[in-house]
Amino acid sequence: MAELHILGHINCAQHFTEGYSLYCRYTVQAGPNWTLLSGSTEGQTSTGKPNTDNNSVIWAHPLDIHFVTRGIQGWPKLVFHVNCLDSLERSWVVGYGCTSLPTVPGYHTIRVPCWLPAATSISDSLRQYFLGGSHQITQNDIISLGNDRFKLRTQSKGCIEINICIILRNFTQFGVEYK
Amino acid sequence: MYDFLKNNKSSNIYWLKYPLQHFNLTLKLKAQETITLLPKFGEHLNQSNEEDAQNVLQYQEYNFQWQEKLFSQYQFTKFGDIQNCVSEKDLAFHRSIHQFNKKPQKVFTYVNKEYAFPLPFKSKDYGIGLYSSCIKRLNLEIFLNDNFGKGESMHNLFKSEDDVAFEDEWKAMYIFYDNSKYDEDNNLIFQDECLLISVYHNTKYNYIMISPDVNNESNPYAVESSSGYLDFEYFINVDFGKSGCGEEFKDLLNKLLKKMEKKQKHLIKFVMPPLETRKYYISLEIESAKDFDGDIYIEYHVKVPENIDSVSLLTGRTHLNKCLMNEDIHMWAFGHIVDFEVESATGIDPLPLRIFFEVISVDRWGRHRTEGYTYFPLALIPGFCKKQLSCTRPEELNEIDAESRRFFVGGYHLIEDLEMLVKPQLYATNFRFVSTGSIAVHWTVISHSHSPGCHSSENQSPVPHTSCSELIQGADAVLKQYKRAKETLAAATKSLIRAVDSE
Repeated sequence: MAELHILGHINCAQHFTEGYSLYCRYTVQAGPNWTLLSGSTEGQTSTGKPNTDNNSVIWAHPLDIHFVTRGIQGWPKLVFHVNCLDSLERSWVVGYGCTSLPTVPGYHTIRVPCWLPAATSISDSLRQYFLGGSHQITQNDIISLGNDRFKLRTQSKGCIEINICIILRNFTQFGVEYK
Repeated sequence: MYDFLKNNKSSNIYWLKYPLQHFNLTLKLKAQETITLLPKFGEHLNQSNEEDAQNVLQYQEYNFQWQEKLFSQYQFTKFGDIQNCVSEKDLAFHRSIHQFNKKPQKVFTYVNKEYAFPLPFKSKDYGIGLYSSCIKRLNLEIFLNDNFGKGESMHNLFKSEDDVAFEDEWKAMYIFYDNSKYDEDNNLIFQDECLLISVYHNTKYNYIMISPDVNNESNPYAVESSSGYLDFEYFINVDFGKSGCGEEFKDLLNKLLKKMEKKQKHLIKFVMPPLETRKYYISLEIESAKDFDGDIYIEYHVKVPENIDSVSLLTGRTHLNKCLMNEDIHMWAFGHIVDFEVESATGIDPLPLRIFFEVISVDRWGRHRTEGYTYFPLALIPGFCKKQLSCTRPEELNEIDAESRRFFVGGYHLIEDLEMLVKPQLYATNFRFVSTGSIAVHWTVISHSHSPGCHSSENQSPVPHTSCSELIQGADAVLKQYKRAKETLAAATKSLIRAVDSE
């Protein structure tokens, strides 16, 4: 059995223009060959107010996930939903993001660019501007799979920065070259 | 950490696996090592110091079965005389003294049928949950028991012996040390019984509660009487009749191991590519773009060399994206992941994949126009790479024509053959390339093949081969070679036999 350890943390969110507090829900999506041994494949960071100087929110949410796999297909991906929390404690999505985890062992800093379905009409734009809220995706698969994404009209959002260490075990025994 | 106090006795609970007939409790009683117990000068002149010390430190060991009755001097005298025996229980004790020729002991027992002491607390059920909780909160249980019913201990003490059909939840056994004073005729002068061990058996849930718990020789318990601590200490050991359970435990572990192996069998096998094939798993991510105009999307085309087969869709496009405009940043965030697999034969170095990007903008009227092309060769070398790709756009040589066309008509697929980006010198063009924005991409490549030392799911498992399977495989190979050799020999000797026959 080959094993993959993902250790690190979701460091921060940057360049999100919303002035509200932000938090992030994340899920680790992996193929059917992959089995979770320890850790959690989904979670939520704390809510943080953006720093006025550089418009970034620090989460420093730890990640410690251990997978065992019997195949390369379906290498794990991290999917993010960034949400905001306004002063009335209303919450809505302000960004979706996805990244494929590096296959090379070692320390990596990854910036995950985020986007959000754009308002399709002027009334939507006005409503979002004055009342808040956003369009949301009903099928989350579209975030990680790029096949049907061309139908979307989106608005670019900020980035999430993650710092992770990848540890691989026994892959070379099965003829896998990753480096 | 805390100090072990000799008077700090704690009880423990043991779940019973075997019947109580196998229960065997061992009590070791020893005089404490104090100065007062050392032999006085002149008493043991003939004995060596070691002998004296041995006498002082010698254990007295007592073994008890469950509900085994041992008698103190007082009990022995009492139950030994039949005139003192009134009840059936007393007569049974009398008979056992004479039948088994029992002697009085310093350490003796009280068995369950004597109802000598109260049993562990059993909560009274008042029938209604709320009422019970109210009674508990108001601490009225004792009051109610005293006034409207007998307490649990009293109930046991005055239990009717005729009510034999009623089964108690608890059965008890007590082990005492007899510190009583007797005269020369063994008549009791002063009664002092020191409780050493209480053993309770819960018949409902079949567990045993021992108070105090089992201890070892480095932490002895002190014998406590009504007047204080005596100069004795004791150790407790319990045997639950576990002899022979080692094999059973071993069997259980083996079964568990087999179950676990069966459950994880699907995990042990690794999905391998076909023999003599090397598979490449590529994950390409279009991160972001910058320095373009309007809302853009990116089309990508992956062209594979001839000696590589692909099983994935190699053309696609990202979502249409609006620019993020900030004071210090101006970019289009895509985060578009393209996963695809290609395979090639082992033993050859595959040529790099050619990946073409076309950045297309959409204006307010829904017109699409090409903002830039770029190309990069993706070498199939395992690893993780990042790249910033500069885009160029073909433009008419006349700048005014170019700008007017771009403004009024828009541009789309100005380059029909994308190979022009790879080898521009081979194409005669009447336009020039203008630099536009750039695209940030990163990708990872993993290759997978049957390496000499690897294990496959079809032929092999990662678990080392058994010698038996290796032997069978070897025998098959030898048989095949033998058959071939036999056929060759038959073919070679065929002509020879004919020649001999003709002669």
